[in-house]
Amino acid sequence: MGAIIETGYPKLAAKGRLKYDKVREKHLLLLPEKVVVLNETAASILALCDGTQSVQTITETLRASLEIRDTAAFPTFDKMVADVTKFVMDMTEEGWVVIQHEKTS
Amino acid sequence: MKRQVEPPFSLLAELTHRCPLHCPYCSNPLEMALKEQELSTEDWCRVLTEAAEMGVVEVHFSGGEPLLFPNIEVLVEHANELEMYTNLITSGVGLTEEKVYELKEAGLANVQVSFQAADRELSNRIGGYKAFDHKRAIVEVIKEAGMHLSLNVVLHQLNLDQLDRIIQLAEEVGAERLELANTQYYNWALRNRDQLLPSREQIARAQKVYEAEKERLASKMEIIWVIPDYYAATPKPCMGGWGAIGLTVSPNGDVLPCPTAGMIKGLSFENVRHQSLSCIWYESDSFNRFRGEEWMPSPCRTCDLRHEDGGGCRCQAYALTGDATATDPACQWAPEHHLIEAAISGANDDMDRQEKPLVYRRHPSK
Repeated sequence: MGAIIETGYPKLAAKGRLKYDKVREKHLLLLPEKVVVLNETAASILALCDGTQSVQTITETLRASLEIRDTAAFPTFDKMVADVTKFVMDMTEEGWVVIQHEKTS
Repeated sequence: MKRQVEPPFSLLAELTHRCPLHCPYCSNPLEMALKEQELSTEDWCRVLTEAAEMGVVEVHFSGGEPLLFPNIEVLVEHANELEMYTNLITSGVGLTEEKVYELKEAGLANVQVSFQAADRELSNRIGGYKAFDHKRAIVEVIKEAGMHLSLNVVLHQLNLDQLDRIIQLAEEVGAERLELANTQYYNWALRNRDQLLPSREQIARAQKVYEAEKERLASKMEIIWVIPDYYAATPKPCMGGWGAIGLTVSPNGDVLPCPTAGMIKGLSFENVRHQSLSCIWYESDSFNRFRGEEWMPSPCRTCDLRHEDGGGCRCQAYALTGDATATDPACQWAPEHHLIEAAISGANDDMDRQEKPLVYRRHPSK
């Protein structure tokens, strides 16, 4: 699974829809008969799972959007790739993200 | 102190009680709303707008058969513009290829089609209508249209033994989700309980099939098993809690905490023709009646499981004991648990089991 994720392009499953809920001020993932309340990071990653970007690219975009803080607590790029990979794998197992072998939007 | 009430996530929009099928476990009330009493398209659009404004993000169009409601695609489109996730819960009857594409164009996210059994003969017998061949054909159209397909099958004595074939059918037609709903005994199902309630062995066999198939199909199809609560030691929580997660608007505009709550005499329900949805959700007596724990009877009040099951289902408590504040008799510690035990004992004793005819649900009539 790890290898597929490294070379593939994650895409939100067709059944899922992302929504920013103004009432609750939360990002949501809407699924048949299920609503998942997302934290900011999860929502940012899922929004980038559009079938055209690899985990590597997603991490770069994510990193660029973060304010660079010059502290030891700021994760290295490799650590972030590992975290995003883990998250995408979890989402894949839930069936909310699919890994495509070729870029499609 | 005023209780903190969270906004609802989902709306079950029961557009009509009219239905071509006559399933003997129908969850619609015994007294159904007439066509003349149904809300109009304009009413529903207003209800959807109000729902979205108060935080509803998923809407399930149901019935009866929602396709008998004129202009359903207008409602789907409106809900979609409000950024709600739209789901159609249908028998499939009335769905044509043209309609499928119309609904897709309107933004429908998910189609849930009911099947009554795995084969034509039994499916048509249970539904009281020759619908199987059409259902079988239309789910393929839904898949061809690239839409997300769910299947729903209500399980009971007459079809539990063919569960493997039911799952096979769902796999064959490419359903992404299969809801195996063990019958919940309200309204028509309660009337037919003797004919529908399975034996303990039958449930155990079916549950084994479900567990094995769920594992086999893990990456391919999501399978949901709605617990047979007569055979569970603890009751099911009422829809995630009374007035906690979702609300139902019935065909005549009455707003209910769950689809069956209308059966509870002594509770009066507000109507969207006279009050805003938000006012009903937050302020009405019917929605506040069983929120929190103050209403709970003994033994629920001091039970460790009260946060999980909330005392069980209010409709079941009312249907079986006549008291909506009683502990759900499905609970092993309920004072009235003997009512469930008696029903189970009948279902497990061959000598007791008589060939009674099914009472099919009828059309709404004056």
